[in-house]
Amino acid sequence: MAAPKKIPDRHYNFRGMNAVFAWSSIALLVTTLWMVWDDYAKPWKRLQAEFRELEREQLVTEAEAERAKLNENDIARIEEDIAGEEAALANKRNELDELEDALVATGKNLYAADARSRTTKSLLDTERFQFDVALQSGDEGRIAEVRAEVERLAATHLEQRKELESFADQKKSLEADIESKRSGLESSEKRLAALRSGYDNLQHRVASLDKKIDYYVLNAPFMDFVLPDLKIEQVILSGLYNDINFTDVDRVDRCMTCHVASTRAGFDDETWEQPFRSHPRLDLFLSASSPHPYTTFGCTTCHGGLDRATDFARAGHSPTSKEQEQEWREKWGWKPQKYLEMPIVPANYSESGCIGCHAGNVWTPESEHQDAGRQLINKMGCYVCHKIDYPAFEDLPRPGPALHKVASKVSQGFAYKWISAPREFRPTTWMPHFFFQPNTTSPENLERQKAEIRSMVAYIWSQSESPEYPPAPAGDVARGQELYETVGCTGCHIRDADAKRDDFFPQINRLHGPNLIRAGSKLSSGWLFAWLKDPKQYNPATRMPSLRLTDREAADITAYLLTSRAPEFEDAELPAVDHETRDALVLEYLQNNLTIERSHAELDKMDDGARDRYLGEETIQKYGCWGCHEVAGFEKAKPIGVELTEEGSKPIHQFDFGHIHDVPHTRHDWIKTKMLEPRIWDEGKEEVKSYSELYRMPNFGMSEREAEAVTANVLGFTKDYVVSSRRADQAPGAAALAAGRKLITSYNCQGCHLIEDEGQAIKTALEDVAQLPPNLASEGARVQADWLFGYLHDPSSVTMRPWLNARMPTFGFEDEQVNTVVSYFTHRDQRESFLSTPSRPDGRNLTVGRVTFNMLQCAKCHPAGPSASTVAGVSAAELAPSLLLATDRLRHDWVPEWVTDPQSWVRGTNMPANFQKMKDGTYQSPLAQAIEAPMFSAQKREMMRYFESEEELNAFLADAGQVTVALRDHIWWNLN
Amino acid sequence: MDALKSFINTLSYPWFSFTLSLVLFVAVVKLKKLWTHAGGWLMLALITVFFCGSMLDENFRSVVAKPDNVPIVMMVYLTGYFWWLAMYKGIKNDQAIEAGAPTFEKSESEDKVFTWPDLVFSELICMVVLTVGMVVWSIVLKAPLEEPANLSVAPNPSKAPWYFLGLQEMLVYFDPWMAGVVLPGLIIVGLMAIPYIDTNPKGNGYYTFKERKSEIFLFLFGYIVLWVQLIVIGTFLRGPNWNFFGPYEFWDINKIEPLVNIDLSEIIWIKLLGVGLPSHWLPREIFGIILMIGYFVVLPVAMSKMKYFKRFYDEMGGPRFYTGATLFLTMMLLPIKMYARWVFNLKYIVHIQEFFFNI
Repeated sequence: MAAPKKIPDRHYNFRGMNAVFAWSSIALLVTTLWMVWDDYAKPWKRLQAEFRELEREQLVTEAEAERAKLNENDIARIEEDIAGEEAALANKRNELDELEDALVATGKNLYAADARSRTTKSLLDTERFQFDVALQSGDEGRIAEVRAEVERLAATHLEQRKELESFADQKKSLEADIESKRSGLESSEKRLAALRSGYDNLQHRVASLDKKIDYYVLNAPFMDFVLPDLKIEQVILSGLYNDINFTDVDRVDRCMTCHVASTRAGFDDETWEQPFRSHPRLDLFLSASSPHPYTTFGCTTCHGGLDRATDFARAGHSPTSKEQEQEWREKWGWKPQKYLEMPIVPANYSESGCIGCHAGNVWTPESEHQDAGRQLINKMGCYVCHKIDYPAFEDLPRPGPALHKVASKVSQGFAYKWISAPREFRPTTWMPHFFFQPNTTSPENLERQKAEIRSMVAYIWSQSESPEYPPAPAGDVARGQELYETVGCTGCHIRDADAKRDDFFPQINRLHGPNLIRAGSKLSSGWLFAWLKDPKQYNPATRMPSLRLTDREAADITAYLLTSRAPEFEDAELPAVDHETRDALVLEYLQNNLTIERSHAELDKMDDGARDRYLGEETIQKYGCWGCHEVAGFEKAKPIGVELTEEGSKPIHQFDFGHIHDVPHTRHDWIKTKMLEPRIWDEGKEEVKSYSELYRMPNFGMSEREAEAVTANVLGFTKDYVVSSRRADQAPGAAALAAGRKLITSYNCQGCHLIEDEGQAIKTALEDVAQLPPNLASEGARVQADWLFGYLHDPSSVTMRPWLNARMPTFGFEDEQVNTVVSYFTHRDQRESFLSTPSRPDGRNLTVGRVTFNMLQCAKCHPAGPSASTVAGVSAAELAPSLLLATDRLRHDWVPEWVTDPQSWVRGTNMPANFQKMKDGTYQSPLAQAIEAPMFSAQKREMMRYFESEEELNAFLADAGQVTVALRDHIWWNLN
Repeated sequence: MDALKSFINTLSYPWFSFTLSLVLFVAVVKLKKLWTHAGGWLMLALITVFFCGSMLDENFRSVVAKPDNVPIVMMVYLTGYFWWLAMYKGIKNDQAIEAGAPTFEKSESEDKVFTWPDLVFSELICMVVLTVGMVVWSIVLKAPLEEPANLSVAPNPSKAPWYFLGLQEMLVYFDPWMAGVVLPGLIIVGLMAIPYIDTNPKGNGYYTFKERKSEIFLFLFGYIVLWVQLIVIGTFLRGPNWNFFGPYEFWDINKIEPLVNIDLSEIIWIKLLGVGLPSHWLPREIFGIILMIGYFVVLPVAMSKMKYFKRFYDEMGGPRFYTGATLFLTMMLLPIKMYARWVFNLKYIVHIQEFFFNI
C-alpha cells in the first residue's frame, strides 16, 4: 500500500511546532502569574485592607469630633502669646545670634577635645601594656624608656581632660542662656501642644493608616516578604494542645488575622460587623487585664476550629441556623468541613469551651448556659446511664427515690400508669418516658411494652418491704397552706398544675423536689405524715431534710397537700397483659444464655408470677431503672449507656443519623436532636430492627433551651488536654471548692440561700423580702469553722434570725458532708479553719467600743437577747442577728472588717455603711466630728480618761480601723 | 434512565463485568476495524459519553469527581490511547510488511534517529505543557487532605494509593500473604524476566501485532484485564467495607453482603464425601495440595506436549518454557480463583491456618 517515500529530514513541521511552543510558553507565563496571584490574593488580605480603611474612616470622624471640641478662643489666645514672644525675641536677635554662634563654636571645640582625649587614652593604655611586658623582661633600659613614655602620656591626658571639661561647662552655660531667653516662647508652644494633643494623636494615627507609596510597595506580590502591613497575625499557645492522635501539638491561633479588632475595645456598636467586631466580653476574655488574655489562651482553646486556618470555610465556622448557613455560603463561600474533627462550636454553644479548664471546679463562673446544663444533667441523671468522668458527675446520689419500700407508698396500678407516662401525672417531672415512644408503635411492640411495665411493677413489689402507716391526725388545710408557703418547702418544691419545667430555666432549684400537685391521688395521709415528720425513716438516703415539724404542723401540711387530686389516677388497676407476648419476651431473655430447648424447659418451670418477676428484672436491667432508683437486686449493676466523657471529640461518622436527612450532620445537631427526640434515629426502622435492638434512651420532654444547655455541656466533654498550669481547676483549694459545690447542688442549698451570687430561688415564692433566707457571701470569712460544723449538724441549736418563718432544715449530714461544706466556705473565702483565742483588750478599747456602739445605735437592729424576734420600732426587714451570738459564731478578725465596709462583704446587706471609703482606699470615720457635738459631751469626757489629749482622741476616732476594733472588742468582752 | 442505570449497575458486578470484559477484550483485540482512526475516535467518544453522561448521576459524580480519583480518569484515557496507538501502528505495519513495503519506523528514518530539534524540542514542549497542566490542576483542585490520622479510626473504605488498588483488589480473592507478597513479587520478577524468556527478535524496533500475536495478547490480558481493570474496580466500584457498588449505586455504609465462603477441603470432605474434616492439616488439605502440585508441576509438562504450546516449547527450549509457563500459570491463578469464588464460593484451595499457608 505505502509506496516508498522520500525519507524526510524532519519528523515535524517546525513552523507548527514553533507556534505550539509559543502558545504553550504564553500559557506557562499566564499560569505562573495566575499561581503567584492565587498565592497572593488571600481573602484575609482583603479583609485586613478593608478594616484598615474602615478604621481610618472612623479615626477621621473621631479626629473631626475632637477638633470640634477644641476651644478656638483658647487656641487663638495662645497663638497670640506665641506671636508676642516671637516678636520679643526678634528684638534680641543679635544677642541671641551671638550666643548661638558661640554655642556652635564651643560644640566644635568640645568634639575636637574629646577626640584628642580619647586618642591619648588609647595610646596610654597600649603603653601601659608595654610597660608591663618590659617589667617582666627585666631589661632596665627598656623599663626606664617605657616608664617615661607612660608618664608623659598620663600628663597629656590629664591636661586634655581639663580642657574637655572646660568646653563642656561653657556649652552648658551657653545653652542655659539661650534657654532662658526662649523660655516664654517654649512654654506657650507646650501649652498649645497639650491643648491639641487629643486631636494631634488622632491625626497621627490617621496618617499611619494612610496608604502611601510605601504601603503599595511593601504589600505588593513578591515584595510582601519584607515588611508587609497585611500579614498573618498568630499567637503560639504552648501547653494548649491540639490532639492530633499521635502527639500533642501546641496551638497556633491565627484567628486575629481576620478578626482584627477582637482584642480591642470600641468596635462593638452596630456599625461594625464580623469579622471586625470586638469580643463581646473583653472583661473576661482576650484583653490583657482579663482572666483569659489572648496571648495565653488564644481563641480555638475555647471556640474550637482549625487554629492555623486563614480561610473562612477551612477554619471550621459553624452556622447556628439554616439562614446563617445560606448567608455564609453566599458571602464567605462556606461549606461543610468533612475532615475537620473539631469545627468551631456554634455561638450558642460557646460556653462548652469552658469545661476543658473549669470542669474540675464543678461550677464555672459566668457561664450561665453551661451551668444550667450541668444542673439539668444532675437532675435528669444522665450520668447514671452514661459515665461522665468529670468531678461534677462523680459520686452523686441517685436522682430518683429509692423503691425498696414503695409498696407502702403507692398502689401498683398507680405505678403502672406512672411508668407508662410520668408527665401525664406530673408535667414537670424529671422522670423520663421510656415507653410508647415513636419507635415502638406497632401493635406487637405496644403489647410488649405493656408486658414489660407490668412485670417491672411485679418485680419491684416482690422486692419491696411494706411497712404500715397509720392514718395522719386530722389537720387544718388553711394552716397547712400557710406553713407550706412560709416554712421553706417552696425552696425545693412547687405545687402548680400549670407549671412547665421550661418556665424555670435556667434556675431550676425549685424543681429540686417534685411538683406537689395531685398528691391526694397518689399518697396516703399516713405515709405523707410520716414522711414529712422524718423522711429518713422511709428512705435513709433521701436528700429531703427534716424541717423539724411538730405533729400538728405535719398534719396540717399533710391535709393541705392531699387536697390536690387527679381522680383518673386513683384506684387504678394493673391492666391485663397478653401472656403470649410476655412469655415470648421471657424466652428471648432466656435464650441469651440457654439453648432454645432448655429455655423452653426453664419457662415451663416458672409459674405466672415467676415469669412476671423474671421479665421485670430483665426489663429493669434493660432500661437501667436502678441508675436513678435504688432497686433491690441491682446494687452493683454497671451503667447501660454510652460513656460521654469524650463525646465532644467523637468523630462525626460514629454518630448514627439513621435515615434522617434534615438534621445537619454535625455533632451538636445530633446531640441536641437526640435530647429532644431520643428515638428519632430509629425512624423507619421499627420493623427492620428486632425489639431488643431498638433505641431505648428515654424521652425527658426537654424544651429547646434545656436541650441546648445540656448539649453545651456534652460538646465540652472532649479529650483535649490542657497543661495543669493553665487550668482553673488546678488552683490550690480547688478540690475543696469542687466537693462543696457538688454537695451544695446536690442538697439544693441555693433553693434558699444565695451562694456565689446564684440561688435564692425561694424568692419567687416568698412575698416578704424580709423573709428571705440569708445570702451566704463571705460565710467562710464570717463564721467560725467549728461553729458552722455544729450548726450544720443541728440547725435547731441556735436561732439567729428569730423573725424568719423559713427554717434552716436538718439534713442529717454525715460528719464528712459537713466537713465538705465547712471546708468549701473556708477555702472559698480563703480563711484558716482553726483560730487562735483572742486576748482581752485594754480598758481604752472596751470603753471607746461601748461609747461608739451606743453612738452608732447598733442595738437598734441587733436585738439584745438571742431569742428576741422583734425590736420596738424596727421592721422585720431591718432586723439583724443578735450580737450575743458573736463570740461563738463570728470570726474575731472579721468583725472589724465587716463593720468597716459591709457592702464589700455582702452586696445589698441592710447593715449600714458607717464609714466612708476614700479615694486612697482608707475609710473615714464620722465619729471624730460627731464627738464634738454638745449632745456627746458626756461620752467625750468618759473617753478622755484614756487619752492624753483631745487630738489623740480625735485621731483615734477618725481612724476607722481603730474604731471598728474597739466596737468588736465591746461586742466580744462587754456584751458577751 | 433508572432502568438503564440499574442495568449497568447489575452488569458491573464482578461476576458479570469480569466475564464481559474477558469477552470484550478478546473481541476488541480481534476486531481490526477498531484499530483505525475512526475506531479510535469512536472509542474515545464512547468512553467520554459514558463519563460525561454518568456525571449527571449524583452517586457516580461523588466518586469519580473526588480529587483523589482524577489520576484514574486520566489513566483510563492514557491506557486507551497507548493501547490504540500500539495496535494501530502494529496493524498498519503488518499490512505494510505483507505488501512488502517498509514499516512506519523504517519510512521515517533509516539508520538515524532525529534528536535535535525533533526529539528535544518536542520534549521541551511536553515539559511546558505538562507544567501548565500541573499548575492549573494544583490551583483548581486543592490537595485532598483529610483529618490527622487516628489510631482508633480507620477510614472506611480504606484504600491504598490508586496505583496499588489492583493489588488491594486481589486481597478479596487471596490470602494477604499471596496477594500482598508472593503475587506482587512475581509480577516484578516476571516483568524483569520477559526479555530472557521471550527471545524472539521479531518486533524489535517496530510495532507489529501479527508477528507477536500470542505475546501481545498475553501481555495485554495481564495488563489491561488483570491490572488496569482491577484498579478501576478498586477505585470506582469498591465502597465502604470494601463492598462492591455499581457505578450509580449509593455508597451505603450499612450495606451487608453475606459471608458464606468455604474452603476446598470443606467442599470435598463435607459436601461431597459427607464425612468430617480430618484433624491433621495434611490429610485435610491433601486435595488442594494435589491440585496445586498438578497445576504447577504436571500441567506445564502436559502443556509442552499440547499442540498449541508445543511450538513455544520447541522455540524456547525446556528451562525458558517451564519458567514462562510457571509465571503464566501463576497469573492465571487470579482469574481462576475469581471464578471459583463466584461459582463455588471457594475461599481457599489450600487452607493451612496452622502455619498460615493459604492459597
